[in-house]
Amino acid sequence: MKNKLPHLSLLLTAGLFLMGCGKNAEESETGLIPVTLQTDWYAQAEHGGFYQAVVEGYYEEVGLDVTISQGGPNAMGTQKVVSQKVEFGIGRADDMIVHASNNLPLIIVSALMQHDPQAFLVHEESGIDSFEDLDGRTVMATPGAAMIRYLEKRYNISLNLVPLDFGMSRFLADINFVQQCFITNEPYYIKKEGANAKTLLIADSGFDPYRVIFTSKGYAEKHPEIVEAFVAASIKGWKSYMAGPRERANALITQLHTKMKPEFLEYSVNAMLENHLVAGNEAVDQTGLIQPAHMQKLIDTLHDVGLISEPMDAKELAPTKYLPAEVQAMITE
Amino acid sequence: MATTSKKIQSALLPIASGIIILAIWNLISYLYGRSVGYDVQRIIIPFPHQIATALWSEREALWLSTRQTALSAVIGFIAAVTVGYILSMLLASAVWVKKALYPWILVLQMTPVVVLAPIFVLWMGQGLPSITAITFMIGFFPVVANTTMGLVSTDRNLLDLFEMSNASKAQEIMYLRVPFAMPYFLTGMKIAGTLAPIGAIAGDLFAGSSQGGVGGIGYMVILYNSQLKIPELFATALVACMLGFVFVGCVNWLHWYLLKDWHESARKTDNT
Repeated sequence: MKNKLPHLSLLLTAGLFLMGCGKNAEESETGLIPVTLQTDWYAQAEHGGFYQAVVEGYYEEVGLDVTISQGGPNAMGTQKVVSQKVEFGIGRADDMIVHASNNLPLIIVSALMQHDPQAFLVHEESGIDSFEDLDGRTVMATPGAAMIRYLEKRYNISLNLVPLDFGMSRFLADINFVQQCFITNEPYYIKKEGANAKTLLIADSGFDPYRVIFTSKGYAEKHPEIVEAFVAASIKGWKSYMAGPRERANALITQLHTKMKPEFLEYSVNAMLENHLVAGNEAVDQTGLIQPAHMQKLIDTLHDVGLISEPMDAKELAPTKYLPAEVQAMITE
Repeated sequence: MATTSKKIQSALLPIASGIIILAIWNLISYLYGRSVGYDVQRIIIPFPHQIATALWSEREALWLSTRQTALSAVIGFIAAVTVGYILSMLLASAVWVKKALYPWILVLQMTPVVVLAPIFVLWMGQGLPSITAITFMIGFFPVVANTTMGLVSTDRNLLDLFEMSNASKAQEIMYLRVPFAMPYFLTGMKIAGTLAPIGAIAGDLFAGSSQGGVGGIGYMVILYNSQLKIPELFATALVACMLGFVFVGCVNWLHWYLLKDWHESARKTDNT
């Protein structure tokens, strides 16, 4: 019996550890409130605005001490946010809609990009010109992503899905290979390797999801002022990053992610600017804006193709009250 | 009579400990759910009954993916055993062959298969060939190591006996060395059998695809994880564990069947 005790205590420790998760907002010694943003990938230009807000001191101005936790293939941002291990996460609106329909207590508090940079990368020689042409093809993508399931249903196509390995070698080796990409990202390497590739932007499929910042319902209810402050400072950071100068933020990015090269960051920023991914369009800067009508359209589309079983209210999933007043003023009903 | 009560005891003990483990699990899930909400608890540490429900509702997909993984495991296992055996014969045929080749087989074995996996996929594409190649890589070495050991450690006295009887080299190998090495070979085969399902699942993680509706077990792991279907992920773990038991059970039976009529290890006990 003696040697069974350590095992029991191990289990109890594990239980206590699990229960200990979820911390409260407390001011640190500096008087700033510490919050953590979990990104989906290693530091890159697609997170530039957040790093800009850090180096320009925008978070400090509103009383926040923001830690940016770099993601990667196993970032698990959603799990970390709903279990309140971190305060904020980023992701695609469609995935958030599906998670919310599964009763996960999360809400979208701001747009990060008006148009998601996700696309399919195909070789010029592949003969693929539209989403219909993808039928039966081998496509390297995230299995189970709402966006992929939407495309299959919308165009009545069936993809032979291969899990994303985040490499480029197989694409370069096979002209019939198709893979999920960011238009701000992979095309740069393809060009460098001398291959001819083009992209099919998901936003052009009739489904144009936001890229968003989300938090857990519980945290937002308890600390609305922190959420507002984080959103306002992040939007300020993004506007400043896109307008430039952005040398200091980029220096921080390359310092955190040592494989990142300045010319690659410039390429990504240019792609974001060219496609108005962050601001939305040329005429008006909509950085951060969530239009409830567009959000509702995204929800209804996913409902129509059967990805979510119950209709959902956009304003409940993505309340606009955390957005700064000047952004809220752009909401059209 | 004492043996009967002992038998009952040995059957009851694992059941009792299983109930205790389930109770502790339930308690942890309950306490965690109470602190963060049960919708979050479901995707972090689901209740056992939620896993059972997931297992039932996903039974079709899990059955198909298990079949696919089992197929890769069987092919990879047969390849590992066959190639491993042939290689051992070669290594044992002459001392210089072993000296020349064995270090390189070791090099191959020491290279982690997770590093080789992306290379296999690049060469052979997504699917069965790559998955079985990964399974083979994990399983063939124990066969080679054990069988070679068996082939070169034949009893000196028996070798002398064969020599005195003027047996040819071929006769010595066929009638002495090979039968003598059989238990060694079968031990290697047993180890390869426990590794094959693991290899097939690892292979599927790297080289699986949704071809034919569902992928293998490794693919389902990626799929469920990206959809945050965590009870389903636990159910997949359960299914993978059962596949491992069935596979090892079959290999152990084969081991016993091949040895039962003549080898001490199989004759002494009524099961393995």
